[in-house]
Amino acid sequence: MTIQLRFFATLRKHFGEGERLLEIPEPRRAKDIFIGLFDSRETAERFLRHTRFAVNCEYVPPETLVKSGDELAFIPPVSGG
Amino acid sequence: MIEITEKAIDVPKVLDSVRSKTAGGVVHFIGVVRNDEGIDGLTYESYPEMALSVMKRIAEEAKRRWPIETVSVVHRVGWIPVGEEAVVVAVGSGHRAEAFEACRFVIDRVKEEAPIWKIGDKGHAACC
Repeated sequence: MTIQLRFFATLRKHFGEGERLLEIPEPRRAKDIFIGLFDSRETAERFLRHTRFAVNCEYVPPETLVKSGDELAFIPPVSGG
Repeated sequence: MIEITEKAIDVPKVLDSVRSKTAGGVVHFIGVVRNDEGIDGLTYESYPEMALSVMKRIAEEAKRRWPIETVSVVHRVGWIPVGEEAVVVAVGSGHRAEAFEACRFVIDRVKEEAPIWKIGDKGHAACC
């Protein structure tokens, strides 16, 4: 199953891209998908402390299961206004 | 009127959008890019689909909490020079008290929740 990932601000800079398609064998928790994107657990944890998750444009808890066709966005601390 | 735009915000148009014959009070907030640390401006990035959705939800919540008529929120993204508007919130209401409260609520929530970012080394605190 395929999900669409979206990166913004500091995370877009870190990954060098704004979006990516990811294949997953079965629904996975948003938090686990996020951690799996990093080379090291330490780096993942550092970003994780400041990241919120959104599925299909709605904030969701980190434990939310992401399914095929979902768009999962990682939201660094916002600073609009 | 709930919008994300890359163009300069037409402030009179936003204010007009909440006026009516029964709106005795119109309150607005304008967030302007200010000249902190000698910057010329700020670049804003957004997740536009979600920012719109969040701004609509906040406007609807304000209308549930206060007896107001209309709420408009327009946020500009991309490069914004110092002195130009980054965000405009306007509330039209029968009376002023709820309009002031709702306007404050909406801008505070937009700043806390809308997926919009100031990008750049010095751009973390240079607006409203």
